Amino acid sequence: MTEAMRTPVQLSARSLTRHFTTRIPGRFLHAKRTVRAVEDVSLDLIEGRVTAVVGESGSGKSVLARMLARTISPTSGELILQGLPIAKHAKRTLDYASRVQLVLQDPYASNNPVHRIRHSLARPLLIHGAHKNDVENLSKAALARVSLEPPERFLDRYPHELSGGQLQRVSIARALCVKPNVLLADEPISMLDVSVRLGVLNLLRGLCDDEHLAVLYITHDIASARYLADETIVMYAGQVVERSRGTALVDEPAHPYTQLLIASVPNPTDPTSQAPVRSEHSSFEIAEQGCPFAPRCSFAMDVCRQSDPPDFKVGEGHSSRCWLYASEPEAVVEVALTERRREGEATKT
Amino acid sequence: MIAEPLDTETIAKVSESPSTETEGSIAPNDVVLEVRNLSVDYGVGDKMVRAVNDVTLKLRRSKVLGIAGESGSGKSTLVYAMTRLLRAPGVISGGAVTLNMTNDDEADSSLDLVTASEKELRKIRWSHVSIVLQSALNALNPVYRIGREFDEVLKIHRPDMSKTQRRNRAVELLTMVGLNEDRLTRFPHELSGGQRQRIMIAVALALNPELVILDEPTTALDVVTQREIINELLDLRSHLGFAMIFITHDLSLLVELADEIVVMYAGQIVERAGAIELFEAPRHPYTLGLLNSFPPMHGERRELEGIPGSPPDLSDLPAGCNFHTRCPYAMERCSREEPALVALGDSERSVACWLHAADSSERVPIELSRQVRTASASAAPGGDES
Amino acid sequence: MKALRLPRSPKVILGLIILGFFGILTVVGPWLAPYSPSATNFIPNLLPSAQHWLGTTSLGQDIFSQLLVGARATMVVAIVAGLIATCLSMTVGIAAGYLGGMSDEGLSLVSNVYLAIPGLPLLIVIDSYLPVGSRSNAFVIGLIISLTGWAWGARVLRAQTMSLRNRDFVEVARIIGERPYRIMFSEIAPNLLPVLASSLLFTILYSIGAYVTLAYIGLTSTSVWNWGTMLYWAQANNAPLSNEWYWFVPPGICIALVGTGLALVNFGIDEFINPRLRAAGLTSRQRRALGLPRRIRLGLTPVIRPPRNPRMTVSPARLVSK
Repeated sequence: MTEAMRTPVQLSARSLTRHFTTRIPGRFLHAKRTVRAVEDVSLDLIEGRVTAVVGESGSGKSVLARMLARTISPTSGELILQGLPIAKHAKRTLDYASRVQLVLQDPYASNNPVHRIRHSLARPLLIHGAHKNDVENLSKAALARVSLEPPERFLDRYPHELSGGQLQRVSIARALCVKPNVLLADEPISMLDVSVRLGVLNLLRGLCDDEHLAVLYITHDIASARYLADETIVMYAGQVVERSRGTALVDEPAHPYTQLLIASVPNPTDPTSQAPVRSEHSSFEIAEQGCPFAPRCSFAMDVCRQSDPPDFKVGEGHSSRCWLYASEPEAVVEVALTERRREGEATKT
Repeated sequence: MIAEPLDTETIAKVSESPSTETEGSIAPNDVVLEVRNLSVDYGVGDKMVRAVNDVTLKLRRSKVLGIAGESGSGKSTLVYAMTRLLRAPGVISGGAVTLNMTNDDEADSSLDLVTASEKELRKIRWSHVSIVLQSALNALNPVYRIGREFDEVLKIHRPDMSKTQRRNRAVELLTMVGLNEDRLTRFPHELSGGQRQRIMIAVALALNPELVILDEPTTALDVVTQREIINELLDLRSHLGFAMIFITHDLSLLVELADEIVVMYAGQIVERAGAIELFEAPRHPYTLGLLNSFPPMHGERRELEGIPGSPPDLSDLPAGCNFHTRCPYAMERCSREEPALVALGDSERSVACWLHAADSSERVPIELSRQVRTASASAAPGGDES
Repeated sequence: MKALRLPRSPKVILGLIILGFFGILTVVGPWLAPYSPSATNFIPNLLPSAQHWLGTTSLGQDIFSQLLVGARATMVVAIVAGLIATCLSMTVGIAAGYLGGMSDEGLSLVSNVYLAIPGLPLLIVIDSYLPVGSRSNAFVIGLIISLTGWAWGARVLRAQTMSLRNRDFVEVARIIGERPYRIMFSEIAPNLLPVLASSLLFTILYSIGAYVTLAYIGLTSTSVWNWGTMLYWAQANNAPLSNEWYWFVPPGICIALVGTGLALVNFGIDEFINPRLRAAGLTSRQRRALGLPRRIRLGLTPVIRPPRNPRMTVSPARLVSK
C-alpha cells in the first residue's frame, strides 16, 4: 500500500451522482419517483484554492457537500482523496474525518446549545489524538486562528451568548481542530448579519492561503462567490451547467441560467439590467429529459428538449453545458439523433 | 361596503398607460402614514430593553419606504408596533402613529393607531393597512386549501359579500399576482415558495389597502424568484396605488426598489435619504460600511472590509453614539454624547452623526461627503461629482 | 448546564412545596413518629385525640405513626422505581431513535410489548414468583414496578430523539468523528433533560399508584409499613363501613397530595419546554403596576408612557391606552 502522495489536488469528485427514490403517495405498486438530486458532477478541490459552487435551493449543492463529506453515499461516481480512490461502500473512517471537514449554514444549530464552547472544541481535539493536557492550549490557539480574541472570554460561553458571526467562527475553529486538508463550507454566511459576512469570508480566504486548505464554498449568492473564488461552478437541478476559472463566468456568463441569475441579482449600479419575464411556471419545471433548464430557457431549441448537452468549451478555462455553444451545428443534430436511437433501443429491451 | 372589484381589463388598461401613479381623487403627495417619536420597549424596570427609540417617519401615497438594518436594529419591531401587532413582552412606550385613510364614501379620516381601540383597529386592519409577515411562507394553514384563506379574509372584512362574489374576488386577486385560478384548490405544500409568497401578497391586497407592509418577504426565496416578486410588487403598486413599507437587511435590493430609505441601528434611525442619494452618497459611517459589505458584481476584485465588531446588544449599549465602537471615524465626542437625527441642510435627508453636526470641528471624510450625480446631468448645470 | 431559573409560576411553587414537604417527611418520618406503628398495645378504634392525632386502628395501633413511617417506604420505592424506569426508557428510547434501522425495530418491538401487557396483572404475576423474603425489599419491589412503567417513556424519548437526530449539531458531531454512543448520551440526551425530568416525575407518580395497589391487594410484605398497607388493613377491617375515616382518609390524602405535587411540577416543566406557555415577559405585579390587563391579547400591543429617555430614573408610568 503506497502512502498517499502529496498532491495539490486534495479531493476529487468524478461523476458523482445521487438519486433519491420516493414513493408517489396515493398509488400502490410501481409508483416510485426518482429525484435526481445530483447528476454527474465532477470537481477538484485544490490546496490553497477556493472553489465556489453557486446554486439555488434544489440545485443539489447541499447533497453534493454531504457526498464530499461522506455522510451521504453516492449512487454512482467516485471520490478520490489525495490520490487514493475511496471505495463506494467503505465506511466513513476517522482518517477521512481528519482530512475533510464541513461547516454548516446555521451557527446556532451547529453548536449543541447545552454545551459550552470549550466542549465543542475539546471533542474534536480529543477524538483525533490530542493529549488531555494539551486541549486547553490547543483550543485557545484554534480560537485565536479565527480571530476570536481573547480566547478565554469565549471558552466558557454557551452558544446562545455569542453573536452569529462569532459562533460561525467557532464552527470554523472546530473544523480546524482536526487539521483537515479540505474544508467544505455549506452556505457559511447566509444566516449572518450583512456587516459581518465579509469578515468571515476574509477569514476563509486567509485560512485557505495560510494553511493551504482546499476550500469548497457553497452559496446561493453569486456576488460573494465572485469575491472569494478561484474557480466558480454553477449548478442547476443537480447538474453543473457552467464552470470557469476565477470569475470569468460572472463577467461573461455563457449559460442562460447563469445569465438569468446574474440579471436577477440586485444591482444598484446598473438598474437597467434586464428583468426576467414574469412566469407562473418558472419555479418548478425541471425537464426529465434533455437539458433541465429548457422549460425556462428563452433560447431553448429542439435539441435542448431531446438530449442533455455535454460540456462545451466557451473560453480559456471556461465551459458550459449548453447546446448554444456546440461548435458545429451538424454535430449537434448528429448527437441528438444518436441519443434518440439509443433511447429507442433501450426502451425496446 | 364592497370594494370596487378590479377586473383584468382594467388592469390591462392601466398597465398600458405610461404614468406610474394611479389617478384618482387623492393627490399623489398626500401623507398616508406618519410616525412621530415612536418608542418600543421589551419588558419593564431594570430588565427593560429599548428596541425602538424615538423614531419619526413619514410615508406618502404610492411611495415605497425601505427600512434597512441588521439584527438588533428594531426594524421588524417598529412595524409590528406601528400596527399594534407586537407580541408580549413588547410595549409601546411613546409616540403616535397616524394613518390617513380614504374611506369608500370618499371621506378622508385619520386614526392614531397607538391610541386606537380594538374596534377601530379592526376596522382599519386589512382594509386600510395590511402586512405580509416574514414567516408568510408558513402563515398559510397547511390543512386548508388556498381558496379558504381568501374566503376567510373576505368573509371577516366584507360580511355582505356572497360566496360567489368572494370566489370571484379571489380569482381576480390571483390573476393580479400572476397565478392561475386552479391554485385555489391546492394546498400550501403543493406550491413553491414563490407562489406562496405571491398568495400572501394577494391576500394582503384583497381589500385594496392604502398601505402594505412587507417584512423581509423575499429573504427565504431564491434570487430569481425574488426578482420576479419585486417586479410584481412594483407592477401592482403602479396599478393600485398603495404605499409600501419594505423591510429587509439587503440594502442593495432597497436601492432598486425604494423611493426613500431609512437605515436603522440599535433601534434608532441613523440615516434617511432618497434611495439613489443614499447609495451614491451615504452620510453615516454605518450606511457606508453596510454598502461596502456587498461584494460588487463588476470591477476589479479587491479585499473589502465589512464592519468590524458585532451587531449591538440592546441590553448593553455603549455610551454616546450606539455605533461609535465599530466606527472607523469615531471622534472623542462620539463616546460621550448621542447624536440626534438632524436634517442635512435644507434637503429631505437627515443623519444622526457628529461628523455632520453644524458645529463639528473635524472635516467630513471624503467618502461621506460625496455629491450625488443627478440623473439628468445634462439638464442641470450644477450636477457634478466630487 | 444553563443556570436554573427559579420558577415564577405559582403552580410550580406550590408543587415544589408539597414535594419538599413529603421529601422531608420521607427522611425524618420514622423519627418523628410518637409510637411504633406496629405496636398493638393501645385501645383500638379510638377517635383522633391529643395522644393519638389520627386515632387508632382496630388492632390498637397508632395511625399517625403508621402514616409517618409509611411515608418513607412509599416514597423510596416510588423514587427508586421512577429512577430505574427512567434509566431504562432513556437507554432504549434514545438508542432506538438514534440508531434507526433494525436496532430501532427490535427495541421498539420490546417496548411495544411491554406497553401492551397490562401493568397490574404483570406486576401481580411477577410478584407472586418472588421469594417471600424479598417482598419486603424496597429495591426489589421498585425494580419490578419499573419493569412495567418504562415503556411509555421510551416511546416519548424515541420520538424526541428522532427529531433531534437530524439537527445540525448532531451531523457535525458525526463529521468530527464522534462515536454513536457518545452522540446519544453526551450530545442528544442533555437536550432532552426537560423531557427526561417530566418522564421521571410521571413515572414516580405511576409507581406510587402501582406500589399502593400492590400493597392494597396484599401482595407486599405486611411487615413493611406504607400507605398502601394501611389501606389494606383498613379495608380488611371494614373501616369504610364503620365510618372510621381517620384510618383510610389520611393515607389517601397523602397519596393524592404527592400526586398533585408531581403533576404541578410537571406543568412547570411543560412551560419550560414550550416557552409559549410561559407568562410572557411581564410578571403580574409589573402588569398591575402599569395598569395593563391581566391577559395581553395579540393584536393589541399595550401602550405605556414612561419618560422618554430610558437612561433617566423611571417614574411611575401612566396607562394611556389598553
